[in-house]
Amino acid sequence: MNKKTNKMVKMALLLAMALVINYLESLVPLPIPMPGVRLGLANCLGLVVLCLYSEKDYVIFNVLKVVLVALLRTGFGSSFFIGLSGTLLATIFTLLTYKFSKASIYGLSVVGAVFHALGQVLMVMLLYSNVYMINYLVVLEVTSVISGLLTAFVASVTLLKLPKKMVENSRS
Amino acid sequence: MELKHNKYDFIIYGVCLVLIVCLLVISNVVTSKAKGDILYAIVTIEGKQKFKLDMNEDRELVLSPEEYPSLLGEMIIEIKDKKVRVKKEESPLHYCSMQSWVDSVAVPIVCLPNEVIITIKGEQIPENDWEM
Repeated sequence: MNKKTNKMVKMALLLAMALVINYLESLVPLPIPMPGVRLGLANCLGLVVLCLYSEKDYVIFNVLKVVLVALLRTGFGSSFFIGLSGTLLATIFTLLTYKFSKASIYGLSVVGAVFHALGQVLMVMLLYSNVYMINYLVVLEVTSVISGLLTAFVASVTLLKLPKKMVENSRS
Repeated sequence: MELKHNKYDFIIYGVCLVLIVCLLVISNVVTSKAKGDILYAIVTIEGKQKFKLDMNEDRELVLSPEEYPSLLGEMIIEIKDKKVRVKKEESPLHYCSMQSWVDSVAVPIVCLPNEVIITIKGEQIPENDWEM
């Protein structure tokens, strides 16, 4: 299998895993009964993609994840735009942090989680012209820091378990 | 990419903490400006304000998916003793019915799977603002 095909297959597998985790997560209610509060474990696969492949692949992975979730489950209604705005803001700020700082996977994950929540709530405020959504944002930001750390932990354990050769070959 | 915490992470955590404190302050300012008599519950469906319900009048509003296609099932909104709640709805996790009674203008009831938001207003709203 040539290198390009190898990478495409691995990216497709990671994307499929992210979709399954996203679906399973939607079935499990969290102890905080609040819209938007979730673990976001599927994001750990995005961090794996950023670590193994390029920044461009990370953007493609995240955008495809949102589009496929909409296509398979939620549809292209307001939830799609809310998810997309969160993902785009999270991706942009994660990449900026990745480029301009030496933050570890933990720092990057927290930045992603915090801006994901911010992007989502800003879109809800825009769509529904409701300024009081800012009250949700405070709680969402606190929970997103915790979920960001958890996601980073899962991603780092995953990356440490991968064969060293695979990690080195992916970026070359 | 490093897989263990370093000093740059702690700078990020500090910035996040500042952001959360700022949001808390903004939230308090917005909430304090919203005080006043509770008059109406505004029901927004699919991004459009559809109902203005008098909070002084106990009643139930039944919304059907035939009328509003964004609803995943029948939704019942109840107003009692100047409080509002979603009594019944269909959604994956039932967050908006779990939220129960709300009597603050600063706390909206959000049901995104059904594209329904209920907010309480504390001041008179001009009739021509409505798309009923």
